[in-house]
Amino acid sequence: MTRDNKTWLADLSQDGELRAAALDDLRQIILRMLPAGLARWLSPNDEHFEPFLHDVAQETLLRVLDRLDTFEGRSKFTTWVYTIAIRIALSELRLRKWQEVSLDGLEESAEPDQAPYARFTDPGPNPEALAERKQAMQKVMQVIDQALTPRQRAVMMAVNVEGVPLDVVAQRLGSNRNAVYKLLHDARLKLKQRLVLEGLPPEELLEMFGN
Amino acid sequence: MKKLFRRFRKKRQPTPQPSDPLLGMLNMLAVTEEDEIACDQVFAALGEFAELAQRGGDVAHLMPLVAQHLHLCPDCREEYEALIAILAAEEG
Ligand SMILES: [Zn+2]
Repeated sequence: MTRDNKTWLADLSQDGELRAAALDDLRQIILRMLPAGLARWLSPNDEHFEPFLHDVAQETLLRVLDRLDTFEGRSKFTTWVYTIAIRIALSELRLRKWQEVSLDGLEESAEPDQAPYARFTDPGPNPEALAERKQAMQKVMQVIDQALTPRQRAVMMAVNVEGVPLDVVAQRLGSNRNAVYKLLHDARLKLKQRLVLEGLPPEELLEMFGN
Repeated sequence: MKKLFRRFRKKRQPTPQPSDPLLGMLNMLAVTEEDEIACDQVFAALGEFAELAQRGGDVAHLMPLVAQHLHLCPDCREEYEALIAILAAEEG
């Protein structure tokens, strides 16, 4: 049976058979559609796939019921349900993937590390351009060093250099993704403003480095 | 921090990286704005954004803050891509 947004809401809002039937249908829809969204992360042939899928579907239904009144009708109801299911699934997969990785640096006050930029100073064809780049490079490193707090620096390194998901950073910091994004936004703004003040706007640096 | 990176290299699985971390960072700084929306607001708008994109709508123009966030936030971007994959599968 296909329902429009209004019918989904009406059916799920009441107790009894209509709700049970709607939940049942919604579960089937999630189980049928979610694998397409997870294809890049998890193979259907993986032995953990089926139990994981069912766990996510169950968790999604609970969250949907809990947040029914926050659905604003800006999309199809099922699309909204998919966003919830995807967030539950990918958050879990990210935490699992990174659970073995120590991120102590996030809690220590981290020292700046030159390593990720090593390739930047590799010999290029033109020695003059190279010297100019190197100088700009050092300036950028200095700004990163001075403008950011140790925590901002550590989070920025983890996310932007090492590719640690925001969800994982959030978990390690006892925070949430939203707050980690805001921390990164503050850090980016500060860096950008400082670089502009130093006469090194990011756009020009990109040009210099032959983006 | 050195220790941290070494440990990362040993244990982490391959993840998509910008060819150079600093270029990636400069690219992010170039598109950084004073006013940005954070992940919770994007989550609330993601369904609408994805359906619009699916219909061929000009999302960058119509929902620029969401588009910008997806450019800057790897977690939300992954979730958006997963959603698009589902909507595409739904259309058959
Ligand atoms: Zn986000």
